[in-house]
Amino acid sequence: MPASRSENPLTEKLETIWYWCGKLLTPIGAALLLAGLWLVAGAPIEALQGPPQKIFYLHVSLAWISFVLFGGVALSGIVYLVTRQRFWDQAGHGLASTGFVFLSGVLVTGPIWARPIWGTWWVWEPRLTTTFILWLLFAAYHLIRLARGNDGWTARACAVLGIFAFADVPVIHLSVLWWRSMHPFPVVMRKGDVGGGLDPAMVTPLLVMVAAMTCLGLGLSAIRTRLRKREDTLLGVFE
Amino acid sequence: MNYVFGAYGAFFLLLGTYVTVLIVRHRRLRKQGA
Repeated sequence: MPASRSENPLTEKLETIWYWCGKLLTPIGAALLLAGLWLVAGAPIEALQGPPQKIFYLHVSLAWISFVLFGGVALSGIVYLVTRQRFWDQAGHGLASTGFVFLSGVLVTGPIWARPIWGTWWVWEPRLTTTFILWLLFAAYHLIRLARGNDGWTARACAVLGIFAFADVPVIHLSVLWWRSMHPFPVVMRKGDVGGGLDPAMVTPLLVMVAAMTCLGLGLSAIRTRLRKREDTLLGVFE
Repeated sequence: MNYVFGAYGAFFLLLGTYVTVLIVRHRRLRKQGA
C-alpha cells in the first residue's frame, strides 16, 4: 500500500471546512475569552475556598478542550491508518500541538489552585498522575515528529501513539471514582444531575469559558494544520 | 488573589507563546514562498 494516496472529494471538502474553522472560530474564541474573564471577575466568591476557586473556570475549561482535541487526534489517527490520506496526519498533528499546549495549561493551573487549598503544589494521586502520563505521551508524540520530520513512518507511528494516548482520557475522567483521591469528584457532569453541583451564578461563567476554549482550541488546531500542510508542500517530504 | 492572577497569567503566557510561534512560522513560510 502506498504511503500517501490521492485525496478524495469528501476529504477535500472536510479540509476546506476545517480551514474555515480556523478563520472563524479563533476570533470568536478570543472574544468569548474576554467575555468569560469579565464574567469570572464578577462571579461570586466560593464560601469555603475563597478567591482561588476562580481558577476552577480556567482549569476545567482547559481540561475539557484538551480531551476533546486528543479525541480528535485519535479519530484522525484511525482515519489516517485506514485511508492513508495525508490530510488526516496533518490534522492529527495540528490537534495534538494545540491539545498539548492546553494540557500544559491544565498542569500549570492545577498546582497553582492546589497550593492554597491542599497546602501543596503536587501530590502523586491518581488523577494528577494519569494526567501527567497523558502529557508525557504527547511530549513523546512531538519528540518523534521533531526527530524524524513528517515522513510516512512518523505519520503511522504518531497515529498509533495518538490512539493509544487517548485511552488514558477516560482513565483520567474516572480516576476520582475508581481510586481514593485528593482531587474532588465531578461537580458539573454528575450522573443524572447536570450542573447540579454548582451555584447557578457560577454556571454561566463556566459555560462561556468552556465555549471560548472550545472555539480557540479548534480554531488554533485548524491554523496549525494549515501551517503543517504548507510545510509539507514546501519540503515535499511524505514517503 | 495572587494565585488567581498567577494561574490566569500563566495560561496567557502559554497561549501567547503558542500564538507567537504560529505567527513566526506563518511569516517564515510566506518568505519561503509556501
